[in-house]
Amino acid sequence: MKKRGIPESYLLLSPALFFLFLISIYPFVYALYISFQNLILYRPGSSFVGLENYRVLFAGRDFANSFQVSILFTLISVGASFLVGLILAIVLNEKFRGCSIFRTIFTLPLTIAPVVAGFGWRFMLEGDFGVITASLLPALGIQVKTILGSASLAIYSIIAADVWIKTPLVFLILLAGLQAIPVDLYEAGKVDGASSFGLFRHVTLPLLKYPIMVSVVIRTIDAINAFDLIYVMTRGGPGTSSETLAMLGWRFGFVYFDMGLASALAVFIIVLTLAIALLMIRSMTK
Amino acid sequence: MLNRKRNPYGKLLLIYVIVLAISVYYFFPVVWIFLSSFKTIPQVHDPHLIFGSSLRAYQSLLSSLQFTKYALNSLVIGISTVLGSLVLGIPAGYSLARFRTRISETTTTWVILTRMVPPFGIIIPFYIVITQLKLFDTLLGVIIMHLTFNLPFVVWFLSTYFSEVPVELEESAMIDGCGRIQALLRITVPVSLPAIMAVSILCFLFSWNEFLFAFMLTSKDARTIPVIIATITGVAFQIDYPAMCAASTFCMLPAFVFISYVQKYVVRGLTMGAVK
Repeated sequence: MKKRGIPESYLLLSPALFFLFLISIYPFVYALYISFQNLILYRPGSSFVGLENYRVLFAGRDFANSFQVSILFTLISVGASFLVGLILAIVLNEKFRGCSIFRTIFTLPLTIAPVVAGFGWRFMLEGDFGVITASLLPALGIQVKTILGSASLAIYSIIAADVWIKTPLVFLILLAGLQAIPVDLYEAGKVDGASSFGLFRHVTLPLLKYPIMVSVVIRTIDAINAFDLIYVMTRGGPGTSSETLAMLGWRFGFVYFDMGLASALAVFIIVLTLAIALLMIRSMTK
Repeated sequence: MLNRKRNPYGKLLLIYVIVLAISVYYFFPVVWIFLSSFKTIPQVHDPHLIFGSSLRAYQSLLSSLQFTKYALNSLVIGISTVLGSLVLGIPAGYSLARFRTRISETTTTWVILTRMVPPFGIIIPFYIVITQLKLFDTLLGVIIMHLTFNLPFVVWFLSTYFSEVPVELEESAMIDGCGRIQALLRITVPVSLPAIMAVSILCFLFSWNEFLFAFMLTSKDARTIPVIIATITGVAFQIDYPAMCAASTFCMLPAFVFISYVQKYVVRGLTMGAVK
């Protein structure tokens, strides 16, 4: 039966396999190819320029700025959403009245379009009538004229929105991890006289290592590639103060139509994403 | 884990305070969008007004043929993506679940790796190819792009589910003269309907909410609701906020309808099985 099955297995698999090839390996190779070309869409033709696009990219001030913005954005957003997600997971791992309703509430942002979330946050932060800038902050005694229009504050408001929309993922992964820890281990620890912090440090954390790794890796990949929220909230502005790498790529490719330069940046983003993911996985599985 | 014996109420109080504080942060933006969709434009500029009772925003959305068209686009793209991923994904997922060949092992790793592909990394080659194929600004172009993230998801999701369906069910059908493909269609698929429903809903939501591809591969005719919300808020100087809130509410609707059904699948779905 197994022998007879094998040609059928390829028959069933091949349509999807063909499509997967078309959407993963082919575009990578094509992006790499374009990144060595001088391809500007409104000019006819293209020619091989070697590493020129990479030289222009890495020498430019835009790239240095976006790289810094992306690192700042990724570090704070991943860190904050991890902390809030961990607290939520620990708290909601307890059984209490209403805990399932709260779990649903905290799952909700995952199914909302990031564009809608970005719009909502922008609406609440709109200088003269946004509910945060015009009601909440004055009530707390803070007078701010504008948040999204401020080069130093805009990026943090995007981070707040990003934490809002992405923390639920961390929370759900860590909660699933917590629920998989056998209760006996805590009982045994208590019998041995461990404090609650000791239990957390020596029982929970080691057993939560894998879920922590997964959530941090996924969050980091998402944060490096953040686009939707930033596009809706600031479009990278004011100036270039919130222009992350993906936003810069959009400007190169779809405002200037310099596909060669944008592809060089795309290749850089792919390599950076995979390198960070692999490094994290390796360091945490040791 | 806190001192349960010494102060049970104190601990419970702490839990409620933390959870309530974070749920205000979580619920407020959604509620605020919903409430503001019932205000008029002057009302929305008064930050102290909480409730409005105007249906103007919804009327202006419905009376604008454009919005109905974009809503229909979103619906057609979502449903087609789901159907496309099921047609390609069910046989592939089944094959991965039932046969252990060298190709099937590589494919499984590959499918999971696609979760790590940065969307921006593949958008430029696709933009060029789709333009050359004259699929720019067509529904088909967006559908193909949405298959890029939904198909691997369906393949992976269903392969884990199919492997839990007992082989004996199919074997008895095959003894009765069914071929392998008939057994798949008549036995395995009907038995797996709840999982197929769940994966369809999740795929639909992913497609419905997707912005980057739908935005970069369309210009006018094939735009979807998220693209409209993003471009209007980006361009207009005087944004009609109540109308945008109404559009956002509409955009959130499927999520609210389906959240209870798919909640338990969301974790598995979004992490590609990294956590079960």
